[in-house]
Amino acid sequence: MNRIKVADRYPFPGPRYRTLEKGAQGNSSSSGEDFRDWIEDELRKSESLTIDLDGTVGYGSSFLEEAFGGLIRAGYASEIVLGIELISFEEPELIDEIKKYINDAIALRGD
Amino acid sequence: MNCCNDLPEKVQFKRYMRGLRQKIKRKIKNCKSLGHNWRALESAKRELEFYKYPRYKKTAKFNYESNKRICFNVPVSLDYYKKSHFHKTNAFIEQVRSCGFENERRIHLNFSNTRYISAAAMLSLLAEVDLILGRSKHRYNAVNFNHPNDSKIESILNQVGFYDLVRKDKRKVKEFVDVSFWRFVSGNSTEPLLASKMIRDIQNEVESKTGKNLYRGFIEAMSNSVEHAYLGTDLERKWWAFAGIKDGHLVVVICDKGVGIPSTLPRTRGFDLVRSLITSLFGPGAMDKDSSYIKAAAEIANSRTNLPHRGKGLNDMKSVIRLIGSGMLSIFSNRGLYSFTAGHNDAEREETYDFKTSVAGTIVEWVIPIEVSDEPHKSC
Repeated sequence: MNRIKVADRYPFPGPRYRTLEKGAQGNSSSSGEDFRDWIEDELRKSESLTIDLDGTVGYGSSFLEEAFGGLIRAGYASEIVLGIELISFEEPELIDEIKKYINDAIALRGD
Repeated sequence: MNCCNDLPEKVQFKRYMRGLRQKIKRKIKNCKSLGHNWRALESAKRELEFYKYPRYKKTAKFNYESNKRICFNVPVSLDYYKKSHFHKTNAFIEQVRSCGFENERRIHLNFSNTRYISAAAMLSLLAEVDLILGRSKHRYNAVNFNHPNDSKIESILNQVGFYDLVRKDKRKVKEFVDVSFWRFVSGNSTEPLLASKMIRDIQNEVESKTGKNLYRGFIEAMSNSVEHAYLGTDLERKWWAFAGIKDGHLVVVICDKGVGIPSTLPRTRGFDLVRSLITSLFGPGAMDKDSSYIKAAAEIANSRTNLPHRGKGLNDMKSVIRLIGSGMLSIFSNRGLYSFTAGHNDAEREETYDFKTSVAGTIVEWVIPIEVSDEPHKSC
């Protein structure tokens, strides 16, 4: 099983889009879009993925929505996205929030 | 028979001129005391010069623009919290903007009488001065100020970087415990690393969850400033942020000098939707109140692109207070104020107010008690 820790790349999670960041190129970006790309890379390696949400200074809702709701909009199957295991001991309520974003995106897609 | 007519013509003329000068001097005095338009004051001063020295040959061109520095007296209380201070503070900042930013004149700020500075008002002035320095042809000579008489005010200006901003030499100042935590940061993109030091300092002062919730509101406010606030303007998409501790409360303020929520909301959500929402919230007749737009923006998900998954920004700012369970959120945008308060007894209160003058942009402020503990969180 693949496991990633958000804080390793994004100790300060940023905005929704790369364009809102200044020198938003390559690794310097900390946007939700960039995080979604990372998840997509990991899902390509293995469909069973665990994401550790602890260790960051906090999350903006746009960052989380773009990363997880964005996966649905990018065409990923609901089962794969809902199958991502989320871990958060510092803010357990984040898991419900992310699930809500995924379900809202699924409802909009009309699955 | 009028006795004055008996006087020689020369004396009569002298008296007439004296009367005129007195009239203009009174006008100048009134302009200063009532904080009138700087242009009116300047033209009155020029007029006085003309009547004071009538024989001086005027060699200036018709469209002559003086290069003289315009002096502004900073109000005794530079403050947005008290409604009586709000108007004076805003009128002063409006004059500074008109003089330095719109007319590119050089400015002197006189802090001699200032005795109190609040976080939001300080940030608003600082942002305005930053914009003036960025645009004015005089560059760093555009704004200067005198060392304040009050040592605490001097310490505040020093701590928030006002001296560094206008490149004025600092003096050794007395240290104040409640001022030493004041932090200031600004940027023109949603780059959290710009504010990383400030964020870390804030998180050291509050409980871990409180710090994380505050970060959530802060990053959304920063994104809103960069993405929406300057719609339709050629201004740099800049934000200014400030954090400080006052009377056992952590104060975090973020401000932009954009067009304001009342201008951006109809563009982002569509005028018809905004009108129907405001009418349902406040009834007909509330469309010309800026505070109605702010409350509407806090109620609905604001989105420029009308994508349903977008725009949780203002809700996030509000949820900071809800999640922490105690504190106050204030959003000033143009002439409107929206405040959301939550108390320990779960009571939530929302208020709206409309002022006579505009803050020319948006200021978001969170005031959170530092002693707050991480109680079980309510869902938002």
